[in-house]
Amino acid sequence: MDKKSEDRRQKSEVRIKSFFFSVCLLSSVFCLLPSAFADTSDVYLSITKAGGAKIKIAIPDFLVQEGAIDRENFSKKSSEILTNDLNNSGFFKTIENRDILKEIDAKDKKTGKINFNEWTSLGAEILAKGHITIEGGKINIECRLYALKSGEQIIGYKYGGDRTTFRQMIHKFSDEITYRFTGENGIAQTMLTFVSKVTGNKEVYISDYDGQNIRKITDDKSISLFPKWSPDGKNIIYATYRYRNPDLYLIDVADGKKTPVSIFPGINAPASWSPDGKRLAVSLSKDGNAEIYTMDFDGKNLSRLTKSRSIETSPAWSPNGIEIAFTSDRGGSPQIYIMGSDGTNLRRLTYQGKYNDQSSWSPDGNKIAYTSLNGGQFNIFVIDLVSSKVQQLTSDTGDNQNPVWSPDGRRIAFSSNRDGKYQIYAMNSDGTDQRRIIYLEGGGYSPSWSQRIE
Amino acid sequence: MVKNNVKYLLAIMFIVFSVSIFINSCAPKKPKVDQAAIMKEQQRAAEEKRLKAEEEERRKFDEAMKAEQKRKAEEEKRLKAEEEERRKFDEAMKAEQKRKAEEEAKLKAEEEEEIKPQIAREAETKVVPQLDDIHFDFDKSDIRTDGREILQKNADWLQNNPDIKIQIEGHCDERGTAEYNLALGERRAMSTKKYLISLGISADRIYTISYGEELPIDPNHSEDSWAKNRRAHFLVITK
Repeated sequence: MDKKSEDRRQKSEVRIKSFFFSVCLLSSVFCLLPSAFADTSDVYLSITKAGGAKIKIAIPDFLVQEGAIDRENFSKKSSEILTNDLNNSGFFKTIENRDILKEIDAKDKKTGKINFNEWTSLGAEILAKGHITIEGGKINIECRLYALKSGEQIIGYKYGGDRTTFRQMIHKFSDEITYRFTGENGIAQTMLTFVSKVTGNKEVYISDYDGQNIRKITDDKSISLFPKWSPDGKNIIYATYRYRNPDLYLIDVADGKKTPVSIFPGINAPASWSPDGKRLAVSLSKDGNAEIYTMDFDGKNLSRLTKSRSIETSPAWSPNGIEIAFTSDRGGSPQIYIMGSDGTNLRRLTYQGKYNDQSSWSPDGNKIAYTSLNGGQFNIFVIDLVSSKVQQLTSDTGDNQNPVWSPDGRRIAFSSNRDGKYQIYAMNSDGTDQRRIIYLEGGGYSPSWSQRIE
Repeated sequence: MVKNNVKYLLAIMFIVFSVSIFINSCAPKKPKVDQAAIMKEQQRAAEEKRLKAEEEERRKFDEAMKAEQKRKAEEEKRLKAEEEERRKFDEAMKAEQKRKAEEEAKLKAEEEEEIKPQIAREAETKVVPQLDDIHFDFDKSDIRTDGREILQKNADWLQNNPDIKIQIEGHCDERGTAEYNLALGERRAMSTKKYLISLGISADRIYTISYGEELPIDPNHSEDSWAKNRRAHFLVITK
């Protein structure tokens, strides 16, 4: 598929649904009731290999009960989502040849048993099968995992939901597989939030981590900026000009309720959550120029951390809560500094580059990704906090901005205008495997990656 | 024979006697007990002891005196040192207080100079042709020479229309991050406001807002468009 038609396809998939719909969808996410119905032994690591070799897994289309509406679609979509999830995880390699998968699966069905030898002959080590039953709008998925060499069922899961939670059910199965075989939490159940101008105004959107299931969550008809997921995945903090000033608002993702957090005269953004979700670090200009403050997430207990005549902005709270990185031009140009979350122990972090901003801590707290402007172009860099070694992740691909880490630290989402308008992309944290994950006519800016939302 | 015997006896007696006298005279003579001498001797010893004790006393006293003197000297020295310390501390305190006072004065002056943003939430605004935009250099917020002339003109118009309140919008070009540009736009609006205040326009007639890089007047990506977009824009508040 060429790029244009792919774009069209993605676009047509992106239906900006009504707010009420998104509310229903999200609330139903929390009603997913998975239940293990087979062997629930602990992490199954026997197939995991050293040296980063990937585990080969066969995923035939899921079986859907006869006579179900949209049967073909459910069957294809389910295996497609799971295949994509497991490839994204970085731990698995899926068997590509769908015709052969179909053939062996048909044989299994006919003989009423798993033909382990034939599956193994594909080079697969694991087989993932799903069986979907649909009853009056309710969807049940029965998922089973088989270790092919030993010819045994490793685990089985049952998920229940409806059309709106269909993807989440598969994502959950994917994360179960990842955890089973690697002991690490997958990211298939994480989400993104970002800004897009689909309606002509910058509004806040959310999507699954893979860029699917896009929903608009603000309707301010103004300018909305810098959305950030709360650590519990229930709220998003963002800046809005709706009330004729860049104010900071909290939006409850489940019911869409908005609460003002910081509405001082002047700028009230951007903000960063403390890792416990109790405080916010915010850039405020209420005292005359932009300085870093911290406040409770309801705007109370304001505390000023910086005092200088220069610009202090883009606060980023460290994962252990002890430090805050921010941008200041006190040295003549915007550079990244780190201070204690009480404002003490200030030190300058970046010396390379004339314009650095948008710092984002890796989940282990050892690195900071940031944006550097050089030769009129934005690029994403990562600095190691121990060795101060700097690594450039993007180059010669237009402007690349706003890096944010996935909660497992393996991927970095960012916005890039390499294909024209700014859109949301993701790459491995070493800069490899750069892929666009969202295409919207209105562009995509300022992504934020949620923790796991179950 | 008896006579001979007596002779012998007498001779023996004589010998014994003389031998005993001799022995007696050879034996150590017992000292003569002289009561007066003893008394004298005792007195002398007592006197000597007293003198010795006195001497000891004097020595001890001297020593004590010396120790006392030493102590006093040390005490004095200590006191002096303490005094010096106190003086130094006082001086330092005074210096610190002075420094603090100066710093506070400086901060206060700065704070007084730092004008707080004022927003017009419910206001309605319109553009008037009499108020021209001013422009800025990349990543700068100081008023350029061409900006000064425009601001003088704008200030004159505001002087002639004393009831009018204005809103200054600070804008940036796209060649910066949205985060930093939000603060930079604020700084441009504020520096424009300060300049107007310095030209005699009352601070409470001027509201400010930063739009960062969000509202470019020219959406193109050229040096020309960027120069146009780095601006402070003036609106009249109509309601």
